[in-house]
Amino acid sequence: MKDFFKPLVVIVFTVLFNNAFAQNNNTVTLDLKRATFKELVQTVEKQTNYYFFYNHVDTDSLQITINVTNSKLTEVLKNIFDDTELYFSISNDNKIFISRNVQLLTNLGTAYFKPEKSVVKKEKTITDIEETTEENNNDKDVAIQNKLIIVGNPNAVVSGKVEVSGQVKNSKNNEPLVGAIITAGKTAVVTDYLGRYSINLSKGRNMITVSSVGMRDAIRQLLVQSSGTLNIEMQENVTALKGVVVTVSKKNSGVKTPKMGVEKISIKQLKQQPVVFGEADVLRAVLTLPGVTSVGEASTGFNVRGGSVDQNLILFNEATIFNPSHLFGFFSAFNPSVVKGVELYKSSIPEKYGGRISSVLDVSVQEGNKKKFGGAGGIGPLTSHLMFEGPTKKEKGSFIIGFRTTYSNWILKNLKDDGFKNSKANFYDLSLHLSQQINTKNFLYVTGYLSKDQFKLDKDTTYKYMNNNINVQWKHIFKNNFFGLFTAGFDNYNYGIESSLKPLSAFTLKFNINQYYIKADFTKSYGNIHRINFGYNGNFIKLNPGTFEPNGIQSLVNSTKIQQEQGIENALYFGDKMELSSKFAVEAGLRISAFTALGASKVYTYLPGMERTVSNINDSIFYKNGQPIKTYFGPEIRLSARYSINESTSIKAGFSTQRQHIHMLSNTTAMSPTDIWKLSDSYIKPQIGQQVSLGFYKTFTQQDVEVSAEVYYKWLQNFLDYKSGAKLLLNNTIETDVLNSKGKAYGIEFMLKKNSGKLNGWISYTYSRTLLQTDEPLTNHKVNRGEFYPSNFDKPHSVNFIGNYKFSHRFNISLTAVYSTGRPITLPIAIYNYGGGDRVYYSDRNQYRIPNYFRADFSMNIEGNHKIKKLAHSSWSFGVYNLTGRKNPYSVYFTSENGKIKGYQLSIFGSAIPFITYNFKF
Amino acid sequence: MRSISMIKRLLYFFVGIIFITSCRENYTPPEVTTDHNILVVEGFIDVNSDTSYFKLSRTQKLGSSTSSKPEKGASISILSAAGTVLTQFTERANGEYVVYGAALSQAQSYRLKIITSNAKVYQSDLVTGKITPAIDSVTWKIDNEKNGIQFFVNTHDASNSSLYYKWDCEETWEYRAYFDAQYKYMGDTIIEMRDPTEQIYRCWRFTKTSQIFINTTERLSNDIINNEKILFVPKGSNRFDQRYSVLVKQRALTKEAYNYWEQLKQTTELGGSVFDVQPTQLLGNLYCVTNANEPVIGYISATTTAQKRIFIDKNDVPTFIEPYPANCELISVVPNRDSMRLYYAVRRYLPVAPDIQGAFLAAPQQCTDCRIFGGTTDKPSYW
Repeated sequence: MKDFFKPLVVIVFTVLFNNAFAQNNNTVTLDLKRATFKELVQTVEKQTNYYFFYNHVDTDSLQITINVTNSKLTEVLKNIFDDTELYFSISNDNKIFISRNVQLLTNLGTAYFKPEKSVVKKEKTITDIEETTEENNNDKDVAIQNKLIIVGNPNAVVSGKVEVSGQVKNSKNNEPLVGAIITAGKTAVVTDYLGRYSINLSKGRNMITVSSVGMRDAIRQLLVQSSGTLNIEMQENVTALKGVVVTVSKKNSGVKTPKMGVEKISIKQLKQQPVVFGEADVLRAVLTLPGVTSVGEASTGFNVRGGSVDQNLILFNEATIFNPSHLFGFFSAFNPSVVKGVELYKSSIPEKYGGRISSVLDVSVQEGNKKKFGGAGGIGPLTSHLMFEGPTKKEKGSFIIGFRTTYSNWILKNLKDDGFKNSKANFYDLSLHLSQQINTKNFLYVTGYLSKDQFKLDKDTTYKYMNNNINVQWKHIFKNNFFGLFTAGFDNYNYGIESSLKPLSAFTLKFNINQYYIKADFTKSYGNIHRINFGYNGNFIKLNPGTFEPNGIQSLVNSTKIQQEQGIENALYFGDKMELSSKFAVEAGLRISAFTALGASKVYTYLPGMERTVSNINDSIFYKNGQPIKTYFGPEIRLSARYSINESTSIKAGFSTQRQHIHMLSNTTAMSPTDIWKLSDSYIKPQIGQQVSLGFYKTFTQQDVEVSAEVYYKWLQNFLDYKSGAKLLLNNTIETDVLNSKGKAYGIEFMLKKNSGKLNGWISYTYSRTLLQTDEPLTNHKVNRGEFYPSNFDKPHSVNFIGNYKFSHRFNISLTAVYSTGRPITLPIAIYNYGGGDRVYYSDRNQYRIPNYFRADFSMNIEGNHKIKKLAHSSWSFGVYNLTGRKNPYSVYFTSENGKIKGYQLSIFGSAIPFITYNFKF
Repeated sequence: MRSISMIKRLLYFFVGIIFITSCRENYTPPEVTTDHNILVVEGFIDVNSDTSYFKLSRTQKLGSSTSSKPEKGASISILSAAGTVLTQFTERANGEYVVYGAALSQAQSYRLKIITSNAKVYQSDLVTGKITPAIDSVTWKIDNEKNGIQFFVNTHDASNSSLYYKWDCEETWEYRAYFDAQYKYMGDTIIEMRDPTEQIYRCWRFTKTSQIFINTTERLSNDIINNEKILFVPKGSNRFDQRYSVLVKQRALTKEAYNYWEQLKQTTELGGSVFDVQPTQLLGNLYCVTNANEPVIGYISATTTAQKRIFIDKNDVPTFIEPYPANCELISVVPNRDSMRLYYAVRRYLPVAPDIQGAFLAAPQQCTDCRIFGGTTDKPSYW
């Protein structure tokens, strides 16, 4: 409290005494060469009784060379500041104020002492744009930028920095803008996932700049009196249509945040990329980022920095999506018109996320328009999607609902083969998001997601899978700088197979995961210095690994039910983002996670010191329902630090550990729809990942170009591999088929990114390796005799290029090119005759590679005119996927035909595929 | 497992068909120069009859013209669990080894021991005898969609203990030459009547299928195999021109043996879907005693064999009778030495029947000698 009065005392004393003792000596003699402004100040202050008041940031770029004798100080200063943005003013009490862009009036207005009407009391919110209409937005924008906004209470006695906080929103639909960057001088803060920010400013005049993807930069002139709230509404970038303009503008963000390995894609950027069947695809876009690969084109999921597919946590507004694909990976299961953007954490995973060891892919949902009803949609050759949004309560509540479906059946119907004519393929997905502001302190959100795929082959086998997710979120603002987000939700993934052709062996097979979770997340900031995040995640998982049942009364199929698994995952976390100095920032987090496998369960025990095989079972223990079987417990460390060498250059380092308690079992190369998930138990230990990374970032502000290089090394423990011929489905003793493995992954990623301008996009090069080793001392089934071998997704070299060129607001083109080393495969090395035919003997695992992968795609987006008063805005996308028609081998296989071995390579897309999509918005 | 193979079909279908753009091309793997020369052991210890066959061979380099090199001069014996030699095989020909008169009990465990000519010793794990139930029936149906004949097998085991099955199909069919050449040319101007034992008009051809047919009833409440698809014979061969027969051999396997065959099938017959199981080095239950690091290929099972033969007459499948694969006309060869030499010796015509004035009606070999199409003139005992 003492410090609080200090400035006041100083002011009082200076006012009282300074004038009295003024010497009025206002000439100086200077001889400076390449001096800093500070040196000038020191020299002048020695010779005169003037005192300088200035912001170091404003003046540190000045270099002064001057040689004057008994010159007037005013002349000298005029000279120095002539070509700069700086102004000076001298007060009656011999104080010299240096300011940027504006000249200060040294005669303070009465408002400084007596609050007037325009001055708003502390804590009261100023929303700086009143209801605006579309037509005059531009003018209004300019007007607001020049208006001086007074924040806080002028009577408050403050010292040092003052905290200003608030929310950044899209003026059009009141949607909070996540990841917007607020810059004031050297200080920059980023809005959180609710669009909230908090920044420390010095008292007095401040200019803040707010930038966000797809938004026009907003500039605000502030007169900060004390801490207060400022909500900022931002205008969408020039074109009215969503999905037209690509602005990946995150000014300096890569350089400024301590986080490493974070990639963001906005939906606008996403929509511009050429896509296979004309539909913006979240997962395919993610695959163009450095460090992200997949085993092939028809595969669900992706591999991040050498991790397997199940090591990615895919969140759709906090809901875990277990299978993010339609049609076995041809489409991602997210409706592009509902998605706001995706964020991929490759190395610095925030402590609030856990449960997977490779990455977090956070797919965020758009909030519905709070001001008016609207919608958007797209019609493509195989799929269509539609979105409808609007207010439930003007300005306070909104909804957004999206639906997507396919009509690929017509292709099947047109095929000659009768078998295919009778086949069917269907999928759809439905997304819903509701948001409601209850009062200024409480907000409520509901998110729902449903996706379903169903196939039927020739009247026989029906295959389906489904994701069902729902959650409710409540945001409560305790204080300006302290708020909490509470989430409760339910995730479900299930699949089923039904066969009915042969009555005697007709069956149904079912699998499902149910996950019930609660999350409490608190964020509290202490100025710009600390931003603390803490909370709790509780997760109860119930998993049915497989039920195999007769289908029909004639069926002789024995009901087989693999015993249910259940477990509870608890995590407490605490993290702090510390801005230790303008150069050094640290984000440190700790997450303590515990997992307990619960009964009811029969657990087999194996002869000690022997390999786990069915014949080595010596006993079994029965655990009652809810009885703990095994608990795993461990800390997860999330650490990253940034050091800024200068305004545009920084280096970062990070260390993180992750633990994973649910695993996908798969011995196919690509993630297959019959892959099951398994909880950790007495034998399946949690997977543990550790990563160290180091990065270098530089921006060239003028060109808005960012370059970065990140190098990482990763250790994986308890990675799951399988014995030859492992049976993963309907296996009661899965532990006998699993091989615990350890892995190492390392690599370096280079990226050059141009964020804005007519030409924008990025090019990246990645060198990475992923190697695995069987870590099971008792088995004689060691893969490659226990040596390190490349994992299935080990692709050392990969180059990605994404380029967009905007000819006008209504016409742009995009080119994508992807190159990577072929993935490892196991090839035959000898041939022999067995069982009447030729057979092949395979090499050690993954000793060869399929041919290298290259693909180039092209697309063109054409907009209708941009008249604002139009019934519907529309756009067309044309393009070609796999422009060069290259037959990229997906897999290589050998088959015995009439007893002779033949080798084949299978390409998913064997030619160039043109596409056309019509998108509209109303 | 059945459901899995259905899914495979389904998936292959998706990738291959909905997205018509997908495509399959020939692939030539990078050249492998090392000759691994791994010993391959194939056969069953037959605990039913007293005859067991084994075939020993060596792997060949990928891309070599023959897939197997017989391993000659080895000695094979069957050992009891206690290690005593129960019976010794004799080498028949081409790496084939056979034992007759070994009375092996079904309930015992056995081990195979091989000593190769380079004095290396190989052994199998102990395998326990398994009894195969009888085949209930072998049926067939014309499949018009796939244009061929599909064979099915039905069996059951009342004791519910067989569970894992493997079938082998051996086809035999009779076919004929276009003309029955009843005479033969003896050189110079001599033509003689052909002895019936030397007939070359009727031939029988024999093949073993190269496909692996297996299935399991482990998930069924009753051990019943119902209409299991086995051999499929596409239209377009001379199989059904006269009479056709298939012998189905059924063997009950242990779970481990079944897994071996399933993987062998998976890696060499079912590839090409998007979700292929990763191929692995498939080794069986044999190992090299002399050098523990030397791989051995093959899985030894001890089992009884059940078999059933069925016949299909050409009248049962009239649409499957194919036109004769050559154009056949008779010409008259005059009885002078030059003409006879030209036709019978140089052009390899065969005299079919006497013509007027000492001339003979003759036809080329492809119209008169059935052996040219791969069969033999020895009538099988079961015909």
